[in-house]
Amino acid sequence: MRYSSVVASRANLATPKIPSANAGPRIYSREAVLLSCCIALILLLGFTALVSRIYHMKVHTMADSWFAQGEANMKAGNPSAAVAAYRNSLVYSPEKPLYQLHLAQALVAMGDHDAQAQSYLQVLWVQSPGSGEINLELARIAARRGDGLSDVLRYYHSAIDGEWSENPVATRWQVRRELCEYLLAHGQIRQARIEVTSLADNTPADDSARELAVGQMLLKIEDWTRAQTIFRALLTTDRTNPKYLEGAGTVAFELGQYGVAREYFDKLPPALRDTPEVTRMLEASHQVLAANPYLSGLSTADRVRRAENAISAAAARAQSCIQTQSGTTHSVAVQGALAKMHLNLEQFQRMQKDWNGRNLGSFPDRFDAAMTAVFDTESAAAVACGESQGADRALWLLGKSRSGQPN
Amino acid sequence: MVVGKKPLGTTKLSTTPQEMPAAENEPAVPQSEAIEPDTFARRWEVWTHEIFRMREDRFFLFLAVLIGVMSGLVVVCFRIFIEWVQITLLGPSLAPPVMRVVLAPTLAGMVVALLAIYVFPHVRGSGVNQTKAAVYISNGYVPFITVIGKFVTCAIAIGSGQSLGPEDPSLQIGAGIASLIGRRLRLSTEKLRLIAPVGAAAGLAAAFNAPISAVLFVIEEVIGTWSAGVLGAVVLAAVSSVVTMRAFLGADSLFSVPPFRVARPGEMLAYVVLGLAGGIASLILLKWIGWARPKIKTWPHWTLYFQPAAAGLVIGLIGTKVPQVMGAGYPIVDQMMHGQFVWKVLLLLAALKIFATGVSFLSGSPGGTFAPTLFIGAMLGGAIGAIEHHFFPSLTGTVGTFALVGIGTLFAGFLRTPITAVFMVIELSGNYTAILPVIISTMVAYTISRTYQKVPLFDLLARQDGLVLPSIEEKREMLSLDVEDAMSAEGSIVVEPGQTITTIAKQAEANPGAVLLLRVNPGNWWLLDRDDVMRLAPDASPATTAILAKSKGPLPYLFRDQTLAEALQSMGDWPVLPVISREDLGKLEGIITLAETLKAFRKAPPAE
Repeated sequence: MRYSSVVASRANLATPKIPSANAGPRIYSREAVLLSCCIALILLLGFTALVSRIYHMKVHTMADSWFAQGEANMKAGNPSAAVAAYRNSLVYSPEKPLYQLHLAQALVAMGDHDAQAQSYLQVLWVQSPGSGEINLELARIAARRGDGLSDVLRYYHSAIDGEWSENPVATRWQVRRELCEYLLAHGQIRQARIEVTSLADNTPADDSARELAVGQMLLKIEDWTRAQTIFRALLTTDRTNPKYLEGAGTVAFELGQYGVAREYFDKLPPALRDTPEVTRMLEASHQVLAANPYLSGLSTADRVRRAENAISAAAARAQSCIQTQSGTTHSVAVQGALAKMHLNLEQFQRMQKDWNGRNLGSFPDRFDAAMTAVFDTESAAAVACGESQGADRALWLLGKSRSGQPN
Repeated sequence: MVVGKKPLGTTKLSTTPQEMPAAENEPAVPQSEAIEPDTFARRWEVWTHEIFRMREDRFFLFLAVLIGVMSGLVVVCFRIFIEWVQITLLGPSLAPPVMRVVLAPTLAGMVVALLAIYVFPHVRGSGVNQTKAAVYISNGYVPFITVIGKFVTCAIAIGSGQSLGPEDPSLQIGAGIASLIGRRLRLSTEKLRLIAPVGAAAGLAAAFNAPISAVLFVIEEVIGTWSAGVLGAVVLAAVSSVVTMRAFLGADSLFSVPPFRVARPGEMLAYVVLGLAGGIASLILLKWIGWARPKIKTWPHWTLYFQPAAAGLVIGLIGTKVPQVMGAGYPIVDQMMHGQFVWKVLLLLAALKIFATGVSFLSGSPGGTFAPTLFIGAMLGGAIGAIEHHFFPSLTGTVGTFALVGIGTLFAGFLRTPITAVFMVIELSGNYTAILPVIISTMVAYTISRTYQKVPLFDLLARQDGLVLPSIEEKREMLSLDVEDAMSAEGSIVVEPGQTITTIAKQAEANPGAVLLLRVNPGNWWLLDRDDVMRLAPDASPATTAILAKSKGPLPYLFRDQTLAEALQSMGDWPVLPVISREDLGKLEGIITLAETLKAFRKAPPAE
């Protein structure tokens, strides 16, 4: 290193010349120095307080301004611009939970930024583990990322039990509904039954929209009885509402109340009635009603005719099914069903004389025995050969309905 | 040193023996004064008398609080000033307009150069070495004009986007305030030397919002020893400074990272990898500064006018594409801890920041290296964490956690203060969960840096400036020589007071040259005169016991774990001292002589 540079660096570094005693500051007493220190401290304190106040005002104004810009961008459906604005607001108020939360929400809205959003939310969660809003966002991210059910449930439950500043009862209901939808979408029916039941318990009776939502979820978890109560109650408020009619019709169909179901479906506007699901249920209802020999108001001749048709159909179905399944290996259940069909087929042939038109009309016990064999045969055929169509399906549904099983 | 029968631990080493406690020397206030009118002047006089009646060490503690509060206030103003300059020059957005990004650091660099040349000649550099130089060369003298200069020029440099931080200058500002107060109060030279580190700790603590780290850094880097005389004052100053700062700027941690737990011990390997990367990055930055600085120093003097501006231009040009590298970069670190950047961007940011920090620092722009070190560490940690997550998705630590650990890692590797690095991470994040990974990672980085760069940064800079400041790292790591390195287990005969002279003489004849140590009772040892024993022996009766022979004592005694420096202090004019057991003061473990002590010193390897 050159000498000059060493000298220069020495001059530049912190080796200033120490002032000699003569050149030094005037000597004051310690008391005076201490007094000046105290005065300087007070002045400095006042100055710092003033500067700090101005600074905080300025900084908060800027933070609020960026935040407002972020909010406007979010409302305008531009989450990426909102994220940039929220980030700027956090530069000036880095610890403000509201800004962090909104940034996280904007990141979620951008899509594909769940990890970042989750990071902000987890920090917020540490500060406010009881916040409903934070838990809800974390639950949504966990659900979207496919995290374990326990994590999703934990966050959703924390959100439901958490604090909500605005309209807590309604918000908690909405969060539980969201949880139910998540569970139903992911096939978690057992857990969904618990949540939907809880949702139904917390639904105000005078809120038709929420009652409808609950009713539709009850249909999905196959709680027909409770769903029927809800839809019946809803129909008392509006007898022509297509959604109520559809729900009530579906429940009635599933409960085997085919006449009632047909009645509800018939009241639906054509556009809704023509949907595949409603059409399927309506046709089945018509067929069941047409095949049902137990229908009240039928003459004896009609009842006997329907019973004879049923016996013929069941025998034909059994024969066809046995033929289809012969020569292949089967599971235990199918083997059992086939055996049952064999027995029933034999019974049909053996009882051909007893179960003729005259006997069926005269002896109710023979009538019942014959129909029981029909229903058993259709049920076994459904197990062995799958669900049938037309009259056989009508008989199978009727059998289920008679035995008290929902569809 | 323990002498005679004094119980252990009661010997008091006076640091300033010449100074008698003021309370004992101060004349009592005359009774007649007590009935004087109760004026403000009178009350002030009484109060100040009370203050100065304090013992010097208590007064020093009082001063530490005063310095802490003042430093805290000044650092608050300093930080606000930096932000104000930044908003004014670069605008309020994280992505400032291109023209501002290029022009602001360039023009500000010119202003800083002019101020540094014509108005504040000692403001160049970070401030740490200047404070050390003040302590070890200038008797704690830091000119107040430098405090003002550091305040103004650093704020302009950092606020305009130079890749520097406000922490090291805050350290020097604190030291300068302390020095001014100490000089005005006409403290002794010894106290003046001590008071600068007290102010330094206060300044750093307020800048970092981290009192423990500040205290540790000052001890690890500036003072070098855990001196009881100054530790209390340093802690008090740091705490009062942080309390003051928090009153104005809030108590929030610098970074917020979600807590995590290390699920499996094997995950620690991930942090070993981070330690390796951090060690290498530290070496790159150290070597880059160490290589380029002497070369730049040989440039003609007129270039000093343009160096900061040139650095500003380079950083501005980088900033047009990557504005994140400008300034201290704390908001960017916070963002990355929340996973804003992918690993490629993080690596790019770390590399560019290493370059930009080197450029800013080498240009002589006033400003510190702490904040850039934190930035580089965070980016590197985040990148390593993201890469490891890619290959091992089951790792429990988030990218934020790796970034946090990376901060400590680079700090330990670059600034070579590993204990400070560990505590700093905890204080900056308010999060204890990362402690184990931080310890592992910092130790790996520190070892690499220590192995491949023998001289630490601040010592290197001082040597390049032609100064020989004590190397605190060497001092810290120097092996001390203990009594057991020089003592001899043989060559002595323990004599009981009731033992006959004849028996003693026989033992002495059997062991020529052995010293005779008389054990009066445990902890009370005397040196028996061998010649006198031999003289008395021929005519001695069975009643002639050791007590009757000439002896000197009581001897100071030593324990085998005491240092040889302490042994020398105790040695005085004694030819030999007993080394006894701490468990049993009557049990002799060996003896030590001056000749053996000096021999041990000669055999010891020289310091690097």
